[in-house]
Amino acid sequence: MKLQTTQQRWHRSLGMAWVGLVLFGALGASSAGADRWYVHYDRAQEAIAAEDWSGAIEQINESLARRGDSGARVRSYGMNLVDYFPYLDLGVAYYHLGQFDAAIQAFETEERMAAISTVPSALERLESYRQDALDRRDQLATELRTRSQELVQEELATARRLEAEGRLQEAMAALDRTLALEGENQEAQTMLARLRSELLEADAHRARQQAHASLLAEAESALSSGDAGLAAARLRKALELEENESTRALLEQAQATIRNEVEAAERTVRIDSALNAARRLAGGRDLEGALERLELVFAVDPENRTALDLREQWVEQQASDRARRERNDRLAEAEAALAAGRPEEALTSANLLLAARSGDALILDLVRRAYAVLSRQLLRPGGTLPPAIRFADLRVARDDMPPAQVVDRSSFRLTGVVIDRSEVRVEADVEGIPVQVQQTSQNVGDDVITEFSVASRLGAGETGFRIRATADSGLSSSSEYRVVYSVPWHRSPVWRLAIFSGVMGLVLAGLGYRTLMRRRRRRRRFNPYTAGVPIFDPDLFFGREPIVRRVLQSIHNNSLLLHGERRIGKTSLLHQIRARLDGLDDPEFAFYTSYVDLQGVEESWFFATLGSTLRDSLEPALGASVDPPAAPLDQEYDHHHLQTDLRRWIRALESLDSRQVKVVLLIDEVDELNHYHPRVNQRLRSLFMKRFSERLAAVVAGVNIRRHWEREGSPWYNFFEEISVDPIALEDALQLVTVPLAGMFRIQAGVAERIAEISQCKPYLVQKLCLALVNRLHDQGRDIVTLEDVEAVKARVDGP
Amino acid sequence: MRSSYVVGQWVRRERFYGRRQLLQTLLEPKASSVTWLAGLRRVGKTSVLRQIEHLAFSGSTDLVPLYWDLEGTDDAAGLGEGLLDALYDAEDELLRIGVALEDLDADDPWTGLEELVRQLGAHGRRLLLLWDEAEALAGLPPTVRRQLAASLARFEGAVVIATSGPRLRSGASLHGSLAELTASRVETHYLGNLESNEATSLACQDQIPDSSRPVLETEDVAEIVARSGAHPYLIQMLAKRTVELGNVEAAWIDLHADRSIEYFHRINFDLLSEAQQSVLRKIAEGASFDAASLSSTLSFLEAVGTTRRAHDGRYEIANESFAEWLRSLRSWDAGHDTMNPR
Repeated sequence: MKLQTTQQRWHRSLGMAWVGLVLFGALGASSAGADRWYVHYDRAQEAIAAEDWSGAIEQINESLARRGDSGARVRSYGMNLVDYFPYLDLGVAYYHLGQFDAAIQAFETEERMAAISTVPSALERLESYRQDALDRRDQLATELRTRSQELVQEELATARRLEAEGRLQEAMAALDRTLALEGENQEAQTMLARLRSELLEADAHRARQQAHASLLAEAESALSSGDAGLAAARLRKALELEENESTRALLEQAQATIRNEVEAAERTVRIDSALNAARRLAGGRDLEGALERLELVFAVDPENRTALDLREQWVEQQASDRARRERNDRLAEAEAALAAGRPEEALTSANLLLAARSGDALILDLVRRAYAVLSRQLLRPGGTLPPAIRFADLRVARDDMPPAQVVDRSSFRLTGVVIDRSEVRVEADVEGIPVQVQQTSQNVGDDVITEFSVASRLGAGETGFRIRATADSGLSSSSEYRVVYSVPWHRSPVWRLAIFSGVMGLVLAGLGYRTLMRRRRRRRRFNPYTAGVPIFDPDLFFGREPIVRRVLQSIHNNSLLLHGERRIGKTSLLHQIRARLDGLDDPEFAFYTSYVDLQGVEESWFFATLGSTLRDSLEPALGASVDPPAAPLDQEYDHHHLQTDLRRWIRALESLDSRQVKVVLLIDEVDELNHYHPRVNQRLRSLFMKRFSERLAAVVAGVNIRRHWEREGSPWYNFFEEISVDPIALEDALQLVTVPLAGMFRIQAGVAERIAEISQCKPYLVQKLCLALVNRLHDQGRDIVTLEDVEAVKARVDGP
Repeated sequence: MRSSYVVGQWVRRERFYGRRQLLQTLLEPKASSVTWLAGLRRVGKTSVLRQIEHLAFSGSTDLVPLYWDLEGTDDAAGLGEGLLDALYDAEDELLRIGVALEDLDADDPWTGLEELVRQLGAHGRRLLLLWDEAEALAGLPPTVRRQLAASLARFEGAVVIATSGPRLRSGASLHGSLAELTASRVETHYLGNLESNEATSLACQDQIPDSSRPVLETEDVAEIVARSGAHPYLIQMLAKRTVELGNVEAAWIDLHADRSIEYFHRINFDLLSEAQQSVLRKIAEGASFDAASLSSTLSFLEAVGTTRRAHDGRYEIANESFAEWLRSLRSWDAGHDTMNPR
């Protein structure tokens, strides 16, 4: 293609533009002609003529969009002239549509345009329409007002009726409609305000009633299932909602149940403790001490069956012991009397003995021999005598009165014998009333000895027994025996009342004291629990008695390893064992304990640590006689030095005590040995191979001393008796929860069990939960631990 | 009541039961004799040495015992340390004889030991070396062994009793090392289970006063002895638990929940050779084997107390616990984890 010059290009583009303009102008002209104002105005006129008022409005608006000013004799198309009064036509259209305000506004706009004033006919038309529009508007307004007032009254009446029927919401809806019609209607406003507050009050009341019913139902359910604490909490809330006599009565009932439960629990703990103490004393043959201890039980629970049974058993035992001693003394007396030819005296002693030990063979033999002698004295040859009655005679002489036996029990048995040459029939009466007699006979030489026994329940005061014996010969004799029953002072009603009053006084004083102590403890936010530190207080140490006992039974002969998971209580156990050994008053062994914690002890300091701990532990016993260590207690102090020191210290201890010396090393965190060189372990073990190791034992605690040292030369191979430290028993976990809290807080039923469940009976976790619970109660100023509390602290204790 | 049983520590005097024949033999040795006392773990080797020591010091023999623990000794320094420990441990007894450690004026313990032997000789006494855990000797460097041998050669009239397991790690026995060290004929004694009456005595603890003895029914004592196979360690463990729990069966079950027993069996099993282990397993499982060709193995196993002969002459595992453990190895072999066979 041939290149064009610049000029030629310029010309070409100019020509193209000119053609475009022409074409564009032609196009624009044709479209503009089709959309002129007068076109739409014509259409509007057609619509007005056809009474298509909406269509007229639309076309007028289109026309106004193209030409907004009115005018008389305005050129439209060609040579046509028209009167262009679009606002007049708009107003007419609105008039006919009943939109009188719009029509009036249109008319006023047209008038302001001023062009219409030059066309009188148009002006007249405008004014006429405008007047009509005004009239019609006013009329409409009046009709509307009237209708509105009617509606208002109707709605007000409806609202009143609905209010009377209690249909407040509907009444309020009617009032809303009233105010929509007449916003300033005072009656409607006043009524609406009143209904709103009534509705609000009704809703609140309904909510309170529902809540009250729900709480009451929960409380009743809790009471029937024995959860008085929960019931009381619910009832108190219910009362806050609505004061109600029956609800208050239920609350008092729940509170009474709670008090009884707490007191019963506390009483049970005190009673169990006293009973155990009493049993221990009785086991040690201190019956008097045991009986004294039982009085503590009676002070709290006078009718305690266990204590009453134990008392009866021990009193009998005391009596039995006394009787045994007396028996031996009296037997000797009786034999002496018989040997001296005084059978009556011998019988007196023997009868006293038989009163307590009726079947004793030795005594019976003595009696027989005595009766034989006596009968020979009584029954002279050739004579015939009536039966001779002899009582087991415990009567005492009285001034001017027949002798009588004084007893302090109402049940009484009179025994004796009748001596005759034949069998006799024995009859008895008590104050003239015949009673049954038990009798047995046996031949003793030429005589027949008949033993008789009469049982009776005595009334207070004096009772007379009469015994009549009739022999085969027909001869008979009778004899009287008087008994005085003196009711012991401690069984008299007056004393019982005094005891009861005293006990009640003590109980009330105790309760008052307990309340005072409880308040004091709460003021200073006392928390009996700890978590993370060893338990030194034996009262807070639960569930490990079997292990402690096993250690104490073995420690004189064996070394022991306590193994268990972390935080299971091994350290606390070591400390308790130490305390028990230190406090042991053993007749055979003198224990000297030394506790060392290997946590953080470097290998190079191991023997120095042992040495210094042992020296510090033994120094109080050895005092000034303790030898200084074989070497300075630093990293240079080795197992040789320790052996030397141990040998000397043990020798010194042996010189102080005649008992067998036993130095007990309590080593905590013994797993640290796993990190030491095997040589260190061997050297430690070599201590126990020395002769002085007969005076040495170890109780070590750890998670798992390295058991894979299973070669035959392993220092710890089967050296220890191993004891597993596991979670404590459920009953011990429950005690750990309840005992420290007793006297300070009450515990809802199920709380202790839930804590035991969460903690899996691991003492550390129990302590941690209880620590958090007590703090929570102090923070909230409450005195009862609930299940909600437990769940709340559980989350905190579990941590993220 | 305190338990009188001892399950970890060595014992002597009234707490040492049985082995009368052995003790008598060892305390009346020929001149310059060397005895190797071999046995599995926990059978009482250390206690035998300590009892010999006690009897020698308290009796009329001319032997002066020196208990020397060789555990962990693997060099000259360790050997010297152990010797010093032994001398200090026996200090009081030596002093009673008239030998003071301060008088052993020497620059090194070997010289001191030789001086001790000379001083004992001057008092008409002989040294009785009681080497415990003597396996260590076989592991000493040759130079140390030579030095030791040279010293021993100068101990005129000294007697040596050495204890160890029946087999060294190398598989050999200590017998050869001892013979080499002492340049003497070594007499071997295997320490096995107690005799029946000795075992009963141990279970009843009849060497201590009545008031301190455990309360056990006669049939329980017999049951304990039977189940433990008269092994002194097992007797004491089982008897102790029986006293605690009141019932042999309950004690047996509790004992086997104790991992110590499992380790005890495994350690002893590992001390045996493969051939010995194989025979034991066959006996435990009731499998057949040619007893005639295995007579020395069977004799050894019986001597160390792992097997015994039933009334009908049949070989059986000496104690029920070990038998069950051996049988459990079959599951182990099958790929199951039976760290605790029970």
